[in-house]
Amino acid sequence: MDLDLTLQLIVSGLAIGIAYGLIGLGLSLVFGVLNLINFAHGEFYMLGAFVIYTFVNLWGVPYLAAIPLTCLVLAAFGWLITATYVEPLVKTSETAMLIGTLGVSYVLLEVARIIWGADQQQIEYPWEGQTLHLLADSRVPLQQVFTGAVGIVATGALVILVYRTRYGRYMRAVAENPAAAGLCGINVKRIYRMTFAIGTAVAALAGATAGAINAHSFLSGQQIVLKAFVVVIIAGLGNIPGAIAAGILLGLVETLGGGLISPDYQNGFGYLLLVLVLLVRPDGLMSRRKVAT
Amino acid sequence: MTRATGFGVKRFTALVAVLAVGGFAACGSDDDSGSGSKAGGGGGDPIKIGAVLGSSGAIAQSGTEMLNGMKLAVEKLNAEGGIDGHKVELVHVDDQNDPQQAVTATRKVLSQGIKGLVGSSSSTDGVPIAETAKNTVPTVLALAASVEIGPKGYTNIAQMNNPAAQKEKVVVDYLTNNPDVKRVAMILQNNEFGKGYLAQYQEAFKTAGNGQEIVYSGFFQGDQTDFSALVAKAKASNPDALYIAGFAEQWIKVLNQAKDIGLTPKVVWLSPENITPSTLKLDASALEGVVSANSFNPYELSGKPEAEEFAKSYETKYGILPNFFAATAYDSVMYLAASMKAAGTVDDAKKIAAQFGKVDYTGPRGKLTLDPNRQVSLEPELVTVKSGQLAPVAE
Repeated sequence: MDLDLTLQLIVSGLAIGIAYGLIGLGLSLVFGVLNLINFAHGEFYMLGAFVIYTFVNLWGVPYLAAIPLTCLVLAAFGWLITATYVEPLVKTSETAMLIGTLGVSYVLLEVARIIWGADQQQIEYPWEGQTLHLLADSRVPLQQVFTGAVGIVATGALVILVYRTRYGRYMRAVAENPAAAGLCGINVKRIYRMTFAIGTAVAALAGATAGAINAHSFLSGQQIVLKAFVVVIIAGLGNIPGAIAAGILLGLVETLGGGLISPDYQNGFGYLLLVLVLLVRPDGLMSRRKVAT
Repeated sequence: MTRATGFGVKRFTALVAVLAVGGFAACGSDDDSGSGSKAGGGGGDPIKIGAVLGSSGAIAQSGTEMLNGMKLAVEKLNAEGGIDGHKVELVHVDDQNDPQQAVTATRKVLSQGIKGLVGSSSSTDGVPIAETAKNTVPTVLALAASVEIGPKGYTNIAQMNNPAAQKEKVVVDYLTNNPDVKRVAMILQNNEFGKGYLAQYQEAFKTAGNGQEIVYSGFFQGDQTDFSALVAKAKASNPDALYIAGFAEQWIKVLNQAKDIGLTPKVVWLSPENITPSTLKLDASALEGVVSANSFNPYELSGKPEAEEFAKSYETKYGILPNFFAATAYDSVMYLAASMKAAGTVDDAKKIAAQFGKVDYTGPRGKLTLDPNRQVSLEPELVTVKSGQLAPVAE
């Protein structure tokens, strides 16, 4: 086995894996609280990439300042969508919820194409072209290191929010039983809106950071959302800290499988991992629950 | 967090499993997705020309550019009084570059009383369009570069693009005689073109006998976004030249990811027609010195009045210089119109098709001559990127 190649594959797998985890974070949060499979999550990621592209490339806002601005814009958008569209959906059937978010996904896809066009765009960032040299000439672009750091900080912040704050308690109460939470005086609608807005902002954060690693287009969200679903399943639904770990595992399996066995099936190795997890631990690798019998 | 009621873990996992199986299956094929659109032009007793091509899904970028080229052609025709006094209306149906949708889309436009048909985003949808439109209206295929269509003898069908292997020849000749090229790594899209290019270079290096060898070759799928395994393996093979073949949506990422891990060989080249104003706008510095075969250069227009006029009006309307895809799509509409004008009819399909290969037409890509199989013969130019623009490679 070529040691240099293996080291490079591990470094690349780690970097892409943390990005996968970051993209899965918001999806996990929204499912955990609203019990909503958000098929539009990928489009929020894509919108995050386009909004920061607009701030930075078109309006000249510095990249680091544009990141929180992008998250705010998308959080407001998420709040608006929940108030006008998601809340009525949550009250209906599961099928309506599924089709409803799929509908949002297609609408956003076409709207993005109309606004920003079908061309690929590259978000400008200060350390463009710079890479970090590691052992044995293995390298990782600084933007991937930055994305990884953002992913770890975002995970920490979400864990603190959900498990250490009053609002987090409300969120968990609503997740457990919305009716009982409402009877206890919790404003369930507000928790729904807040959770969805945070989920959307985290997707936008992923778009603003991971989305800048390569050129993006209006299709980027569609390509990445399946990875986010895989991450969420591997981690266990609603398991926030597990998302990053599951992302890293997925990244490593794909990259090492692709590099050491066959690049033809790089994506396939990730799905194989998913199938194995579903067979062995259907509640997720990081879940404390054992296999249901 | 856990939930007592609702959609449930089992159903969620089942759903994702179904999606994953779809994703796994897609490992062996290229899928597009998206929605349709319709474009119109002209007015007053118009004749309809059908346009079947993918303008959404994975090839949305080149498809949109093609549709823009076609719309511009219709505008020009109508501004000059139309064809035989008839204004022209373009009836576009999106086939997402999918063979099955291409059949449905072609049937749909054929049922709408069209007088002619243009289209095809590649050979993938071009072959089914040809099979569906054979012996019907005069049809001019734009991007299809299939050598299979012509020999079948469908006299109502002409092709505005020439075979990929023919285009690549100019680059093959250049590289087999390049002393800097000894150890070649090839990263290609897993489709008939990718496989065809690999076979072409294997044969060419062997025949040339200059000690050149392909030290690594690897394929990527049409839906792939991460190429780290491919570029790491290519780098481990220690190449002095790198070839990338695929659509712009992917080769740009392959090139950038290669640079990211320090794979920066002396010679880098791309499959034909791939360096365009939109890819240069994206990251011209990454493309500096990259070589490719090219049949329409919007940066070299002097002495080519048709190309100059087309490039100017395209840039005015769409805010960017046109590329090969837009020029070929424009040519397909204009060639059909020229054939109708020369035949003196918009209704007699046989008379119009009889003009294919005979009609005198000069467009943005120059004077178009067709081979006996009614397929365009164009000698592409060997180009490289110099100061952010396409320039001929100095021999």
